[in-house]
Amino acid sequence: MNLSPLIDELIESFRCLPGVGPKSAQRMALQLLERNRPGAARLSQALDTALASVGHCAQCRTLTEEPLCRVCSSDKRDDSLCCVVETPGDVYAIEQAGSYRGLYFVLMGHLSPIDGIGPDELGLDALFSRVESGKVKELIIACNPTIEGDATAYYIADNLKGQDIIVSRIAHGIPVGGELEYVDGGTLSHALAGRKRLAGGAQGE
Amino acid sequence: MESRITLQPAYLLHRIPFQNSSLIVDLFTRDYGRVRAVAKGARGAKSRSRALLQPFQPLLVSLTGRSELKTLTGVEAMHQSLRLDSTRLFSGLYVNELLSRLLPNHAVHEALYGIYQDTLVALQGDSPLDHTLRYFELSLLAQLGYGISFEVLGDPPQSLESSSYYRFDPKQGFSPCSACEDAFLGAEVIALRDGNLEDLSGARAAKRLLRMALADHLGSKPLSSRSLFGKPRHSGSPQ
Ligand SMILES: [Zn+2]
Repeated sequence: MNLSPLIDELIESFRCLPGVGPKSAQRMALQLLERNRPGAARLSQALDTALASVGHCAQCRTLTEEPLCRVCSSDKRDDSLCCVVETPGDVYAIEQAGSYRGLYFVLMGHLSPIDGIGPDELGLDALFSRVESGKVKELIIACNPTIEGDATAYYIADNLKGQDIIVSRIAHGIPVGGELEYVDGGTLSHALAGRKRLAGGAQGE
Repeated sequence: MESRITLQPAYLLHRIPFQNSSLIVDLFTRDYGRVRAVAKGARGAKSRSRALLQPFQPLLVSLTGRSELKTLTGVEAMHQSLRLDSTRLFSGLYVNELLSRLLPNHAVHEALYGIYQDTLVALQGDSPLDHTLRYFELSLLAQLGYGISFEVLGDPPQSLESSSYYRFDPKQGFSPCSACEDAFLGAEVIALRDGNLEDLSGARAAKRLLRMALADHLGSKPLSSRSLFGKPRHSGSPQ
């Protein structure tokens, strides 16, 4: 039964959201039209302006409506540190954690040759020329701990060999408050390989 | 193929996001060859299979379903994941890309499964990279029924002479020719046939020959993993 093509179109549009099936899309559409027209107007306006204005930061490629994002243009950030992440969502996650004071480079993905994504498709030259421009002293690779993330990290590190820059990768390990017994084998072996010395040894750290 | 498969040794070749929280996984199983399956909920934040469904992780998979696309009902680690670093990881990705481009679905390839596993183990160790990759390429072609015939075309076929030059046509085979840039020296072809790739010019010739043989089956789309070996310092490139 086709009650209203306009409502159907609205319901169908909500389905592009992650986790939204036909039932929830219908609930969202009817809720907005029945009970929250100001909210709907605001949503529609916000979507419209964001779509029209948000692009990529010229330096780190994260999403922003300004030529340079707030992090890149801030004078309170340490521009000798650059953290390489896969997505703008990763920037949000690290910013919310609150302890990192450096800049970012957003890959917008990872190397995945089997999906046809090589170094060119990922635009890694932009990262290498940023490093060559000289300010970055340490590149912190925060790619996901997946095979593709590993390949991306190795590729970047290999291509920066011989340059006067530290390339590091964030540690993978046991979640804070987690219990060893319930952690998968891969995470455990990463955690063991990346262990930290607490005492002993000649250097006495 | 049976509708229920339990604890089957397998490696994941490729994973594609599917719907909101699931994956479509391309598996190379020991007894059933390449099988495609849906891993429901495998991308969810709490999913335990997410960490396991990675390339180079020896798995035991359980599958059900009668259609082409199976459902993954269980996955366990058979052993610890193979650890490939740097160029050896790129080589592993190259091997996976080759398999995913050339291996048909649902054809049993038990010998190739063993060869693949041995290749991954060799990549993890410190075996000469060139040998490992050439051996895999050669075996892959042979196992898929595209094996290179190391004989000189003719009726009857002649054996290769080490001091003669040959032209290689992937569809036909070797035919005698004069010494030119495209020609292969008999000794280099014989070395590849016998698995002797120690000397550098032989290794280079083997790489070129296998590349020609593979190109015939890969079609026009280039192998993306070759772009990872862009720099000259990677001597082990499969290019
Ligand atoms: Zn920026």
